[in-house]
Amino acid sequence: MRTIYLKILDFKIKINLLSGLNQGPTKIAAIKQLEKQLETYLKPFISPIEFKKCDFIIDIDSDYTELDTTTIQNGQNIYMLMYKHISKNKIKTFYQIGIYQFGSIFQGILIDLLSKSSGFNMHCSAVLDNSSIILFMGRSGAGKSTISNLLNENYPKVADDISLIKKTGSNFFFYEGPEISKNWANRTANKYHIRCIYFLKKANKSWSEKISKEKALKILLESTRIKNRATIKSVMEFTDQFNEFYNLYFTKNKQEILKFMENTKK
Amino acid sequence: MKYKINKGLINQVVGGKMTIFDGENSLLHTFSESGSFIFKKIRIGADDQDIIDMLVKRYGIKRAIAEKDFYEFVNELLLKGIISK
Repeated sequence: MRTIYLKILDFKIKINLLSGLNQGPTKIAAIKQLEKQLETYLKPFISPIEFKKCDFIIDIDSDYTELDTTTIQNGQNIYMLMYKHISKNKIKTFYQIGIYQFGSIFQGILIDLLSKSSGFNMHCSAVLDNSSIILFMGRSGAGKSTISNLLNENYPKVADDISLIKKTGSNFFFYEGPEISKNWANRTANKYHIRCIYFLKKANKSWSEKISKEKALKILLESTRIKNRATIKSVMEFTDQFNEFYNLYFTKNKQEILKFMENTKK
Repeated sequence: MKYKINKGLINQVVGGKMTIFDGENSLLHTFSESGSFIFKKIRIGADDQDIIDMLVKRYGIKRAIAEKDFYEFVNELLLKGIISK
């Protein structure tokens, strides 16, 4: 058994790679491929220091027997087991799943851990401006990916789909997390101060207007994936502390939006 | 009379205003400054007469006006299932 030790959002997570004996060449190739992809996907978060106590354990098992026989049919849909809970802080998944499925499982685990630890997730893209973060929110098709791609030259993209926010001390910070999405972004294990949050609206000219906390809270709650009591409380607390909420009407003209962003700093 | 805040609601001051999230109905309620003041007093268990006295003192208004405003607000909270008697 090999273990990957991860430190992410101040959580300690262990991934146990359980490869059995007598594996055929196809299985060995699948195992090696997933291990290699995991190392790439999780690279910034791999801890060189081993630890015994941790917040979550993921077992990745090479025994397919359970997976092969666990399918459920509901009408035309056939469901196959992707992972199972072993205990409240341990799951078991299988080498047969691909890296995209693993990414989805892993993101769910992080969001769940966050919700128990004064944190929450937001459906948004994010760019880095010096040492602080600008978040872009909006409904599907509002331009979250578009704007972060337009700005990427001067403002590196750090999230494309989901942003993880966690309270550390008395302040909330943006944490980079692993993300597998249509546009891969370069990851680090850093945390950042949040400069402002823009709610996107497409327009012919780029301009912004400040919006009330009341309106912002409504949108933030809509865009949070897990809505348990602790998460909602954290979103409300964050909205109370944070003051920079804006509607951003933006054009797809790269130079214009870059100029607009420069002007916001003045 | 005393009122109690119904279970399942999440309350938090956001931008100086008391904000209530009703998870069951996915509703967000935000109170005005005076509404926030009344809600905070209900939350700590003050009775209606004490709260009305506090409103008279705080806003320098006549008792009859404070009573009218208080019960109007409280009836709305009762109707929306935010508090109960």
